[in-house]
Amino acid sequence: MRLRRIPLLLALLAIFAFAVLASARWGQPRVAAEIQSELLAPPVGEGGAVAWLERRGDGDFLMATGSRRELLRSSLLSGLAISGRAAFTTLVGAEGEPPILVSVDLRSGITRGIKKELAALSAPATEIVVGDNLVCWLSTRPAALPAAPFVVAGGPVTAVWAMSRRDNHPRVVTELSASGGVDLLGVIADRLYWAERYGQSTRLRRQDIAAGQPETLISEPGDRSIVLLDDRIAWTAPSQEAANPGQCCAVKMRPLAGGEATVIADWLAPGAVLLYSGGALYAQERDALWRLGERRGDQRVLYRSSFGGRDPVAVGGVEYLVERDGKKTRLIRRGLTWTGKLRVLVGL
Amino acid sequence: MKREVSPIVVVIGILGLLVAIQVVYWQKLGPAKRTIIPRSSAGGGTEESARSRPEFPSGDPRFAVSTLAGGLEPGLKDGPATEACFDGPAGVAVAPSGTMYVADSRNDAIRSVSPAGTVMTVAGGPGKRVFSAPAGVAVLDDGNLLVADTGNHRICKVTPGGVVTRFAGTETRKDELGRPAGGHEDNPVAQAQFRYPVGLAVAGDVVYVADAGNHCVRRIANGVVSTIATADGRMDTPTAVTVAGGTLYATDAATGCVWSGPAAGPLTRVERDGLRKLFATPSGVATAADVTFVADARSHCLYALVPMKPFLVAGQQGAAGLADGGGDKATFSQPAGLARGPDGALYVADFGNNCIRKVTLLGSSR
Repeated sequence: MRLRRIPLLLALLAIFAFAVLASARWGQPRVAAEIQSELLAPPVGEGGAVAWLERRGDGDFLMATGSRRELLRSSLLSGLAISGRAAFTTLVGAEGEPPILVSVDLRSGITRGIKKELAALSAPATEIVVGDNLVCWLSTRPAALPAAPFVVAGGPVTAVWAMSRRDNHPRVVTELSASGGVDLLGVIADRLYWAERYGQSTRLRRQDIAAGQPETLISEPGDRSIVLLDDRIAWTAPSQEAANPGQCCAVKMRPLAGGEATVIADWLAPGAVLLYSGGALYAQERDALWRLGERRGDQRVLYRSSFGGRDPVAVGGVEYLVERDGKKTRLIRRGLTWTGKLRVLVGL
Repeated sequence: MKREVSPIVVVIGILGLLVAIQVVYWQKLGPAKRTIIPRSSAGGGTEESARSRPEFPSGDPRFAVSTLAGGLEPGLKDGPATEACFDGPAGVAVAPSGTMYVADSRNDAIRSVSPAGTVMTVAGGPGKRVFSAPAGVAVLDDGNLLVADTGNHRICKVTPGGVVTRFAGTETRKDELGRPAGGHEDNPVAQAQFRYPVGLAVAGDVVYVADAGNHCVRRIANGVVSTIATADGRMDTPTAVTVAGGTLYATDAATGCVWSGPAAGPLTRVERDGLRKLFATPSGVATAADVTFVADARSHCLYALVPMKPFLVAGQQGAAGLADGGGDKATFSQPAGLARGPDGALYVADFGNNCIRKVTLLGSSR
């Protein structure tokens, strides 16, 4: 009779050991990948996949979590987006050949990705976003007068391109002269959203790709973080409560269709970066990660640490950050939700 | 007498232990509340103890700064000055009548502000393809305007009624995006070429151009464009020019220097206390009451060039903002163009704040 209880006791012992181990590591950041050399672009992700570009001595490589080998190699890779289970990037092959926009199937797992050439471009894409029907990207000409950011004509010129996923015919949608750069945010209902940064202000703009002129939705002083939620937008703005509004930042939210903005958080660090994953909004400060609620006062801190992660991205309840420690660059991840923490813990 | 322990009790015990460990974990790393303490000074509100307010060197309280037209919100809107919108005003000039003209660069337009405070669009506008990000404007003696059509690499003449004609500069080759690339040709105005002309100044029949992309100041006299020489090295990115008492001043945004010399040249760098780099990114220059004033886009301040070293007139060094008041309290955001009005006041194209500011010396009519 006693012998029959041994398996049960062993199982309980295993559960106990796992639980103790899990409790010690629960919520702790873990290394997702070691970057071999220079990280070309911050990681991007969708669903459960996270991909990034890195440059080594023998070329540029497209890498993804879960892949033990590079998915794509070229002398020059630029711009990266993920949609579904495919990564989109531009590659330059032989010298003198035009850059090519390609998609790479990430489902190829541990082997090389399956590459599909979409279009030849006049210049490499610096950023790419993908919608249901459209692929949009930026190509940038550097500033002619870098010392004079107040001279708009002498600043960098960024061309916004769009291509239907059906006909693969690229065209310029608009040209922008944002001295501080342009960040593509996403495509929703065939409308492209982007952030334009000037020396002292950030604007959220959008344009109907089929027809129309760019329209400005938001303008805030300073370098601001903007994130598209499903049917709303959230962005950082000068603090409403601090004595010096530049010392801290607030977070505002409003419907995408228009309407009054409401302040949902305040007293965050001025450089806070907003993240959106799984229906939840997060604010990443240098030394803390906050989960924000729908109303002012609902914010709560998830992590307080200072391991120096940068370029955060939230994918499937997991946050990925780039950590640079001397010559080493690592991709760190940590769970944002209970399931995310479990995924990080068991290495899924 | 060995007592048997039920497996359910064991499982419950283990779960209890897990809960206890989780409680300890959350107490250590879980949600934390920030300490908010009331501000001790007047004004209400709260202030987080962890964040201290940095101090910035600030201007002189004897000067007063006010917002004349526009506001933080970018746009193109005519009407009363307080309701009007600009988008990246980069250059400003004031006619003897008191009417102010603004090179509204991101709107590709020239705007005017009447002495009564009404803003109007004189010429150009988004999508009209008249100008390409004009950055400079000057008033001719006959009341017409000269515009530095920076993106089109040419100088235009504009009547107060809005008729635009080419004054100097011809077509140039295209760059890889199909835009005019600019060039450098000293020739009669119809054949001359510029590359990103920014600042303009007029002295009688002679026009001076800060030709930023060609690293020099150009002179237009008797229908011919020439390049003004420099005596000690080459300019990098000249962005503003002014002439006072036969002396030409030019700011160099890249090197932080101010150049001066006879209006026909050659120009030399102004030295103060052994220093040549006097500013971070000088963006505008004007003279008033024998004093040369310089706007600095990077430090967000307005300075006076006095014999020993630059004197901080208004703004807070390194702190951008849109605050009116005394020179010590006021803030700018990338001040660019600078002009003196017939009333003796200085007018600033506050590029980052999308508005026009006025600076006066308190206790003085000028």
